[in-house]
Amino acid sequence: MYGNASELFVESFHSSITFNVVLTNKLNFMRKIFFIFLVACSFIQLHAQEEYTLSGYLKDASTGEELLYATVAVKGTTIGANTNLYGFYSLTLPAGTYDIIYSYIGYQSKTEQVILDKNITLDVEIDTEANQLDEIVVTADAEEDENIRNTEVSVVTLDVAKSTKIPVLLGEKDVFKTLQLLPGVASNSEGGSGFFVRGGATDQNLVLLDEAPVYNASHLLGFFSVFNSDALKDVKLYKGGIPAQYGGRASSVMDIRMKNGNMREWQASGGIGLISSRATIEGPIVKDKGSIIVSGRRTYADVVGRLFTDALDGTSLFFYDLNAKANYKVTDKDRIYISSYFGRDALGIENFGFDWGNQTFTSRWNRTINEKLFVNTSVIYSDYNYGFDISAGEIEIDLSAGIFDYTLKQDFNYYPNPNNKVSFGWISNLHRFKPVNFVFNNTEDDNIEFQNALESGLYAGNEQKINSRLSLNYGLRFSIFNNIGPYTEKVYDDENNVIEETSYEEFDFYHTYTGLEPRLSSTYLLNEKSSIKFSYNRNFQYLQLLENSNSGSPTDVWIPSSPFVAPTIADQVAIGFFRNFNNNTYRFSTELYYKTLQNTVDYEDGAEIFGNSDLEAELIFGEGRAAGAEILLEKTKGKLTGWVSYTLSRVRNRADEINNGDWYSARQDRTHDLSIVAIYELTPKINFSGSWVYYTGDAVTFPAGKYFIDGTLVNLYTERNADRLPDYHRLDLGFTWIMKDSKKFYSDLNVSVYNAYNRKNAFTITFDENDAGQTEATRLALFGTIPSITWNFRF
Amino acid sequence: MRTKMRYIYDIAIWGMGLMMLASCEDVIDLELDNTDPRVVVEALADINTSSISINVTLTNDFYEQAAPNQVTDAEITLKNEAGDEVNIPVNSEGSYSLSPINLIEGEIYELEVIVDGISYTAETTAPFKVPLLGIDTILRPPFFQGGDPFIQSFYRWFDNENQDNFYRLRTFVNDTIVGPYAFYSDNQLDGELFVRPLMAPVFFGDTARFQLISIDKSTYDYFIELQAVLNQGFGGTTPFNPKGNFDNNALGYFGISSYEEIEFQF
Repeated sequence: MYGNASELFVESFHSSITFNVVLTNKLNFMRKIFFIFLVACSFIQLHAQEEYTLSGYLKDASTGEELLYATVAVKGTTIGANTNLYGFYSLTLPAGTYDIIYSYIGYQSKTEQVILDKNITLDVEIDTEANQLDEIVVTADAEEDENIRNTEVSVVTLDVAKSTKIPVLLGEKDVFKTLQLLPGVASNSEGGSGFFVRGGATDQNLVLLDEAPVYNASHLLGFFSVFNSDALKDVKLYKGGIPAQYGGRASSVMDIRMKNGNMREWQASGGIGLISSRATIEGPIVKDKGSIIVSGRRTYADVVGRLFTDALDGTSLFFYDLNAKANYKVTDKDRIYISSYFGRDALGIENFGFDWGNQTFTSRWNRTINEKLFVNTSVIYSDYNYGFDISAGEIEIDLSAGIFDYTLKQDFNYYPNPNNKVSFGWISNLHRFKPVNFVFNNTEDDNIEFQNALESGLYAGNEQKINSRLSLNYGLRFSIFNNIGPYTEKVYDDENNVIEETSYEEFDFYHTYTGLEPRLSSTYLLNEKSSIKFSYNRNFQYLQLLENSNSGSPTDVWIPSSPFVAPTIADQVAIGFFRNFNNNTYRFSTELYYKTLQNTVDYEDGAEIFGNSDLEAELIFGEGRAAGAEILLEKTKGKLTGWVSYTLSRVRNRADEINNGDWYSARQDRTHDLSIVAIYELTPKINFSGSWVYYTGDAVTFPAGKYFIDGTLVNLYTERNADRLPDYHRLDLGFTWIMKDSKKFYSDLNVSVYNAYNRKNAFTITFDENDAGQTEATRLALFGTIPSITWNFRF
Repeated sequence: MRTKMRYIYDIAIWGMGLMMLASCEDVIDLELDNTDPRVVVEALADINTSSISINVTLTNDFYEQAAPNQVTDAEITLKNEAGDEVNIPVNSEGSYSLSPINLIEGEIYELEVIVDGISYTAETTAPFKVPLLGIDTILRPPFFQGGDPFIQSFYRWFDNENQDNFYRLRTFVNDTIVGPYAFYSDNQLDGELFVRPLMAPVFFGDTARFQLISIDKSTYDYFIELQAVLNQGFGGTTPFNPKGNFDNNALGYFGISSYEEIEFQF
């Protein structure tokens, strides 16, 4: 039942003795690894004489926002460090005088002379390039070559500001859609914000907003992501080479950080568009000590729609988002953050309502224990839930379901010397799965039984510079997943009938899985402008999303690993070549990857997922593999900037119950995927942009014949996903006119055209009889040419 | 629920589409692979009329516009638990039927269909009849301004206790079947009162026949899968062939049913 993975990594701990022995051994192993890290780092320290530490934060000069992953380098050497997720850096050097260069993409670099004869705390502020004087041109080589030197493989860091220049559907700026234009990342459907990473399914992407998992990152049935770009500071996608601090998903991690808010002055910004508007206000609580930001967005598609058709009378169709965050520097060493997201979609007709949404709450405490040790402690809540409300005369029916997470975690960064950056920490996440809860005329179903599970992780890793050419980032994560009572475990026969039931009491840890997840990435500098990189990672995924349909739905069901459902295990290797040209005007990278997946979950043909209390009986288990080559050529300077991205890939799945057990193409198996993005700055106030996308049509199952049952046409199918939708391609164009750009007021007008040459890309193809009784194939093309206009402002 | 969801999806998609005046549906030329014809058997025995009716056909290519290829030379045998066999003859319309036959609730029956020397066998259990207690109705205001008020109807019946029961609701309005497929099981609802809506409006002046059909598990399972596969397009599942109870890769099903009926003139 559990496949090979269970033989290697999964223990069924009905015996508490076995459980304790195995768990203790694994914890001891982790302790040893951690001990080795510390000893190794201490050993390195022993050789250093009279060393002092320079530490502090790197910030934006105008807003006081911390800059993440920025570079801090010692001039004239290859010694340096990066700021962490909170903008903190630490650099331990022998006593002496140094010129320290602080740099960050899109900012002017700054050099500070430091006399290091004691430990020094130095917070540095740098200006954006937009604020620089024309005659001062500083090229931040250290930062620009960061893509060559760092140990990140298969990682995409998105420039949120730049992504707003790319034309998108309905002018609604969306970081997800920008990511879909990069190699290895593919849209899950026309106009959709869901995405596949290197052949992985959509549920294999861990999406974190200020560390809180977001379980359904889509609005309006997938056409918009839940992330309002105005509230975001940094977006990083790990397609591979995932650091040990992240766990829980098989294919990728998307780490999204919200802005902290302007520490210096109050500022408002927003935009008014055809179907939605947004507004953000931010400012200091106490200048340079604390700030707050509140950002909201609301669509009015239904209101606009009613202008065009009476068919939408009495219907609702909208979503809204609210992001809020506050932070405060309690002492020089302590800072607290509280951030929250709340978003909801609503669809309805007269007597039928359907709504769904996420909410997250994160509270964090940053503490600089000393110049070399930084710790963040987070308490996180996240939920995703949906509900139906049906009224028919005297009858009122409510249905609801959801997933609720309560997380506690600590992450430590230890900087023993410039060549090592040690990370270690732990996380414990209590998941509560609420199955469909049926309320009839305000009478609740008493038999509703939540499923509970505790997912925990312990990790340690080190980013180590071996010599001037070779850098490594290695780590190990130990994950443990406990199913917790109360719960009634069922055993089913071949016909899915319950043949045995075992009841577990509250807080019974009735089943446990554990996993060791090694992570490694390395960079070897061929010269100053080129490098080769390698990565390997193993990831365990203990939660699975059972998709109700071929296009994703808000009612898709998250289920935990259990005695019947083993965790998905992914192994991925990637190798890449990175090269910068022409004074870093051009960046080229290519990567090859191979990924295997064990214990993938699907469900039997015709399985009823919604509200099925015996869903586990309808699951089937299989395996998957994906291989591909990715190429990215970027032009980063000059009037014309942009990139060309190409992915060649193959994604195959296998399960005994499907296709006679033969391998078949996964839906997301797109052989070719090409994106070309260009932004042309005609004048400092006018720029044009365009993007062209082409990819091989999705693997789908078309009929190979037909027959009739009960007078109804039934299509005859042969092999799963043996056919293809027609190839997809689309051109989007955009134009931005900066109408006013002064210190006090900024405004621009953005006009975009989605699908400029009106390509009828098939969203679905259905096979049915027409009114004359003839069978035919009908294509649904969702979006033709769609113009949009948005006015953005800031003051 | 699936139907409602579909409706909501349609509203969302078409609402957005209309709003943008952009979405469109069109018929396209799409080359499809063809496969060798497969045998399809649709066999239904009816306890009320003590009869059995069987249609044996071969699958067509998808774009073939001809009527289904009927198989008129099949050998068909029905066998009861005692081993008594009866041959089902072909009738003048090319299908197979026999009446009267003795069908007993709770007994297992086996049907064998031989086509071109290949045998296809299915087995099922005759269901127990369940009385239809009544039809509840509620007068509703018009859907749209200027429309007629309509009647919403609800079937009401008690499930037979300590039996596995499966149901189909079939409604004829003015002799035409209305509403989508409606199938129910008493799984976890054994012996309970069922009140289930007709998912179609009835108007004043209509004549409606409400049938509560007790069906066997094989028919229920087959139609649940059939429902899922018919729901294609946006929100649809991955296509598949519904699995019936015939062996040897034959399509279709063999089922036994009995029904209770109430007729109303509104």
